[in-house]
Amino acid sequence: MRLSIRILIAATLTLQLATAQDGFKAVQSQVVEHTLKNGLKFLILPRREAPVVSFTTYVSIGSVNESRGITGLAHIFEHLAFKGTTDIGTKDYSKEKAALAALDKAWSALEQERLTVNPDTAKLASLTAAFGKAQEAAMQYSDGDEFSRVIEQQGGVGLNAGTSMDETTYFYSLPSNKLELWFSLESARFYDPVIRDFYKEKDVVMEERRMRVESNPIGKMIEEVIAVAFKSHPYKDNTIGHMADLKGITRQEAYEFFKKYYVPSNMTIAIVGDVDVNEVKRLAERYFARIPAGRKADPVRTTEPPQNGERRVVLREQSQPVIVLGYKKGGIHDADDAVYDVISDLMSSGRTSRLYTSLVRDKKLSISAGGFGGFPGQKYPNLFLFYAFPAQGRSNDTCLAAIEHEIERLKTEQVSEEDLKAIKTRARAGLIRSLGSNQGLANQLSTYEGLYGNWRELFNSLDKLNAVTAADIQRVATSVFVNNNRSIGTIEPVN
Amino acid sequence: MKRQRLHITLLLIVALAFSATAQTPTAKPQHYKNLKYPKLRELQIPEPTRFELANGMIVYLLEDHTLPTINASAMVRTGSRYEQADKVGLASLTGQVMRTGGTTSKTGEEIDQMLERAAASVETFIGSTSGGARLSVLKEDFDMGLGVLADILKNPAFREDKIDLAKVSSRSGISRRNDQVDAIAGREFNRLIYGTTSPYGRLMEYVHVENIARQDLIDFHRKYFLPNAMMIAVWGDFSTAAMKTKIEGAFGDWARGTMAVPPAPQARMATARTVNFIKKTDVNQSQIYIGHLGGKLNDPESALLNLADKALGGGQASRLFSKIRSEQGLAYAVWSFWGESYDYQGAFSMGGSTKSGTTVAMVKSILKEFEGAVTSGITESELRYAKESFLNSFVFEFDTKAKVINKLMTLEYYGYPKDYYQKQQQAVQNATLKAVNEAMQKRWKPEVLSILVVGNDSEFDAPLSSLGTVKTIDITIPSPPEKIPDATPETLAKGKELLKKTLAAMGGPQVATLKDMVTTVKLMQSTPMGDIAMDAEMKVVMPNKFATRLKSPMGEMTMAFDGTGGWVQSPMGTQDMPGSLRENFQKQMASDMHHLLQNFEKAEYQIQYLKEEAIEGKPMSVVFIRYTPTNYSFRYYIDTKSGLFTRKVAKGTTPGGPADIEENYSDYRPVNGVQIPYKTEASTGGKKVSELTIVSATVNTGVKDDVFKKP
Repeated sequence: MRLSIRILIAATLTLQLATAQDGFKAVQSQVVEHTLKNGLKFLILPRREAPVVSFTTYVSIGSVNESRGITGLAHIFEHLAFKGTTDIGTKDYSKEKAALAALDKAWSALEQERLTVNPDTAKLASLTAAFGKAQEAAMQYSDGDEFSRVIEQQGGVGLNAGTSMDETTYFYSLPSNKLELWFSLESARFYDPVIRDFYKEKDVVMEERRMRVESNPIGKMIEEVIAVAFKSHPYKDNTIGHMADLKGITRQEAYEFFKKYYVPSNMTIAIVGDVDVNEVKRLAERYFARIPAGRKADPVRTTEPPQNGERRVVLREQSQPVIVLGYKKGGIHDADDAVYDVISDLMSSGRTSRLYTSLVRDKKLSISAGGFGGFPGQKYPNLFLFYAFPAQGRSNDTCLAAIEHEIERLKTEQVSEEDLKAIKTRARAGLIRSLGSNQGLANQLSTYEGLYGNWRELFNSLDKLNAVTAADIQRVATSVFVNNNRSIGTIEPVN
Repeated sequence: MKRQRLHITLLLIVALAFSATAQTPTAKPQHYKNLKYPKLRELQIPEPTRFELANGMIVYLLEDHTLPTINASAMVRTGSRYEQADKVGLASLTGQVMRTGGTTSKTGEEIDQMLERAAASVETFIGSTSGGARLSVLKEDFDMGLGVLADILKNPAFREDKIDLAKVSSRSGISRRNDQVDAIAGREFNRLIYGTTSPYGRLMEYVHVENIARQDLIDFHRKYFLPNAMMIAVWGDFSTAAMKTKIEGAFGDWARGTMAVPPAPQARMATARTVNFIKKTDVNQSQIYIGHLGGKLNDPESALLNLADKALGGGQASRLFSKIRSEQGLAYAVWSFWGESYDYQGAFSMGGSTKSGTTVAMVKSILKEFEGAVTSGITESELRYAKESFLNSFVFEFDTKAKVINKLMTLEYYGYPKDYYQKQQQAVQNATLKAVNEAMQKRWKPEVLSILVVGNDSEFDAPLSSLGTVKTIDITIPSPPEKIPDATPETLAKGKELLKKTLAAMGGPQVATLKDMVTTVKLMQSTPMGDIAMDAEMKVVMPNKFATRLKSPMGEMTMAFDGTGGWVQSPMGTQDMPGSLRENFQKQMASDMHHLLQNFEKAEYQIQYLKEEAIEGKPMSVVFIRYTPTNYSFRYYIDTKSGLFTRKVAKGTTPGGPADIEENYSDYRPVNGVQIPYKTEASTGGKKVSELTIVSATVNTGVKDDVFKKP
């Protein structure tokens, strides 16, 4: 009896701590770390409000880990990770396995002919037909949507995944009584995935590329901008990959990519919701211990050399104008990382931000304008990107001049203490608000752990931001926002 | 002793063995099919406190102590569907400027600063079927946030500078609306389903932006934003008793008004299948939308149709996803969506995007799956997939307090029962395969589908016409109406000067001697069926009579107008000219070039110089002319070098309604000393509508009055 009262008091105290002070301090104390022998780290945060739980598997492998000829593979693999295993998504695996081997042969025969200097048309046609047949033969054993179907049928929501330059994340939520389902499926797909429906899924990815890039003026521009802004670092290649590579990538390459990179040392898992920590630990051991340990991916060897001159790319499109300008800056381990966050808020957060008040509200040059760091990735040195969408009848050039004017102010004027304080208040409030969603929190915890090697950085980043001074902003703006260090991309309308 | 020890040893071994056997099967990873799940802990849906203020405002409160924040959302009985058709966008502008334009006691900038210094936000907006507001604050700033919210809702000032800003944004939005192919497809599909003039399908145009004045915003707000037309939901880290007092304090003094919300406009189902096309030459992937009018959330078949939709294309293991994406690799995006709204019919859509070269194949695949589902029904296992997905994920409908309170408020706003979701859950539970398949056959209509393709038809796998008669939709953005500056003595003088110069160039004193003109012409007319070539004879008697005889493939037609009335003779018989046409001719006569040159010195004409503008590199002076008795206005472009009229822009009648018609004149030749343009090209909205070429012309031959008499 006394015991339970004490627990009640403790619980009330915890609750008060969570409400009266910053919500995130309490949250921090409730995150449990659990690392398996193979090196796979779990971050567990029990939250009992509703009988639901969210999961994120963060893999610190993105398109930067690709090489020439296989651009787009990190993202293709993300698609393939929904296609099942040796006993999920198949109607008869032993027959399917043989059919897949035959399919690979048919593909390589076709590719070989296609890539000769003068392909023989008749031969090409018969090889294409043979490939089509082999594909049909393999497809008859496939039930490639089983994995997704089971999750949906058991009540899973928000089932999705994303690939970026730096990472790949897999996530969804389940009713909390289905906790073990996630363990069973998630461990299986990274333990013995079968790369099935491969050539069809490449077609799907090519459609995704047409949708996001080739038939979208802004997507097209972004691809051109990173290609000129970076000349050696893999940030120069769009995550979606080049069309020729998408066509050429083989099943074998996809499997090798998986074997090399999908190892526990490159993965972090976060589970947030109505769970018992010990139960999660027990299931983690049961399901994920089987995944063999592997070597952590080396950092990308190629570093981007200093930029010695302004670069520009102009797209003439059936679109209204758009302008972006990106300045090279350091990656996440740069000592000034927090300074860029402050500059981003000062320039683009809300109706009191400098670019809004100047370009949008007062001069009416654009309908929106802003600036943010971490483009197109954040792990390695990247761009601080300013952008503006000119208002009707206004040009990119007038917007550029107005943005430059605001950049100059960063160099010549001290930011007021009042403005700095407001930015810090907003950062703290933003962090508090982000704790509201289980899935959001699972994503953040695993991302910070994966990127910084420590999930606590999510909360420490606030301290770093609080330490930023007006002098820091001036110093960073003066050294980074210079013309030789920038790349400009514009869309100019044609009719 | 020994035995006992042995016993103990044995016991240990047995125990170990047992623990080993007990552990091994559970420690092994299990295939998902072998899993047994515990019963889901019952979701306790919290009950918000609901009460009504004396002025009729309805309040929902729900404590949520997980984070030190407080949020509120309000719903107001209004919507853009109630705005006037010539002021599309008024509701949206009102919703924006309520917040940005400040209140009677504070400017918008002061409010921005107060809120953003405290990391707080207050936003207002008006959507299609409701208006609303949102507040989000750290709990220590709640009093400030609530004060701002109440002030904005009760006392918005609609300052002019923020109306201008919102208008810049609206115009820019119009100018950008054809930049993204997916946005075009979604918007135009909606217009196909509801109609381009429906409150659910119409678009804001430049002319609407110009039509909207500050008083319109003030009136719109005053008419709809009343306490008795509003509900507010507040959730977060507060105590209910204290919050009650605060809400009463903030809104209690707001006087009740008379609600004047018309009934929700309803929509009608199409009666035939149509194939529609929008050309976009800069894409290599087509956007496809196929569908018809959807339903309401409280239709008796709602639960059944949502199950059918999940099986057809709503899920990641649905038929459309499996067949079109996974099996054929045709698309990244492919879906079906049984659209439902609360108080009018939603839009049912299927679609996706595929490379230009598989466009028709993809349309056919979607149609095949849809027709197959309607005709043969879905299967038991598909129904199980749909049902279990729905029932097992039901807990996510109410897993946060924000969802609970906002759902309840929304149900009440639309007059739905508060246990609506639980009833839907029950209906899903009870759904049989027979009932689902019958509902599909009753409500899904393959024969009235609207098919829309946006893409680059030069790369299509087959002509779209293989799907049916194709209607091409023109998405050209109508140009903004040009603002005419006020006339000044200088611009009026210069206008007259310019016309004098033109008069000299067109024949000087000879122009005044012009009494009549007879021309034979070749006429090319663009019609929806293609271009039609015709021969015609035209007779004009100054100042205002004319007769035309037309030889067209449809037969011969004569039309005459004697300055006040006229008639039309065709193979169908002879008829008086309709009144509207007669009025148009009476008005438009004032802008005829020779008529103008004979009369422009008269007081009825106000001629104002506008600007210099180039046409195909040639400098032009533009004059704006108003014929004051009818207030009919038009403009002429005068070639600076030759002094001749090069272009006229005037309002005229087109098949699409009244619009600016542009006539371009060229190939001037003198006839009896008077310059006559031998070629006239007419266009509207950037598209050529006709071309007239004179074959021969004579003047002052004494045309008899009897040609204008009705036969």
